[in-house]
Amino acid sequence: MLRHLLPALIPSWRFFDGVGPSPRIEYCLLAEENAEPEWHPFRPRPTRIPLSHYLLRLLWNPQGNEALYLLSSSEKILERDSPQAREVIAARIAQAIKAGHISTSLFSKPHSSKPHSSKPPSTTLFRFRLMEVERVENELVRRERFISPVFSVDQAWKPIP
Amino acid sequence: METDPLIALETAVRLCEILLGLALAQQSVEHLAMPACDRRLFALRLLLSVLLVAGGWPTAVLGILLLTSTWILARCDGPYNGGSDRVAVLMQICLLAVHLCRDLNAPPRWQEAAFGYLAIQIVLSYFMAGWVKVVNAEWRRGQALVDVFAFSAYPQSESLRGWAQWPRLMWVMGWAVMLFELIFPLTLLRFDTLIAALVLAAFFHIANALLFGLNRFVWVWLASYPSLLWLQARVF
Repeated sequence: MLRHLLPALIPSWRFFDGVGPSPRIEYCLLAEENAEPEWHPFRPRPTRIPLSHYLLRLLWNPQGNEALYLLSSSEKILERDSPQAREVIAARIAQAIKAGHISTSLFSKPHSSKPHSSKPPSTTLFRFRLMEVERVENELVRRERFISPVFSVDQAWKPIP
Repeated sequence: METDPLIALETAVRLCEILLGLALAQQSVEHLAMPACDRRLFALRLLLSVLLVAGGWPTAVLGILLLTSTWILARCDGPYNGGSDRVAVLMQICLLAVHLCRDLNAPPRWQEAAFGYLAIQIVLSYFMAGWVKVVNAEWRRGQALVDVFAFSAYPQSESLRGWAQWPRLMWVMGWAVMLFELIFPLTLLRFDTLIAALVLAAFFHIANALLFGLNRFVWVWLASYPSLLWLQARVF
């Protein structure tokens, strides 16, 4: 309990002290455990957002806060291989597969997360991986930093805040 | 207990509770809109937030809120929403301490110490954020903000990454943020400068919300501002 309360009681306040490598989540659907993965970005950022949506997000930004949570979960996996963080990301992907909108950017629909009209994929297995983007001199470089074990969409996922 | 002509401890504590209750209610409703959320937990937090705004049973309400916050921190292996969660928990601890001191008839100075600690931490939240930036050469050169827009995961849309193509603007913005954060403690010397600083700080948080989606930071930091108004009036 103290491990979690102390950082709030005596915070470090090191906001944006440096800009390090930035993780991105990608997923793949698998017909079988050893199948060759085809990676896709999970909930990619939209190209553009209408101005009204920027303003609305001051009051209503559940998808944006989910994206921030997934970002911090990715960082926890890379920093200390947090099992909870793995579960968080896998559960979100499983939920998106079940809902049939895994390839949909939630950011493009800030008020709803209606499923795609296409059918959900028939496979029940998936992995995710974490790519890191960083600046090396003047170039942006992407590197694979983590690949998850295989998860099944149908396994029991506990609700995680 | 000493009362101040500008803002009394009782008033400032109550304002913090109302604003924190509204901020936590907004967060709970956002959680309830997400399919993967723990509905019973956030329905309970929504109810507690409403009670906090209404002023009913504050000691019990803050105590249960703090328990649920701790459970979330443990379940998520850290905060759900970074610094905004940490400030919300800090506020719950300090406000709970104020009420416990009151309920136990502790000397009034203990209440002031608990509430003053919150105010001092909020001042530090700005100053330390400025300090860790200014000692970093990347921030001083303007490169850090370029990188935030170029490749960090924070910009809300890909079109915002175009801002990285304006290094001079990023340099100016970076230094404006650092200077504001570093001089923030000095604004407590006068009531009018503090008001001006809080207005600027609110715009700063709103800009972060618009560009990077950090909307929860706006409402949680605003909720703490009555503690700064009280501290300024109490000390200066």
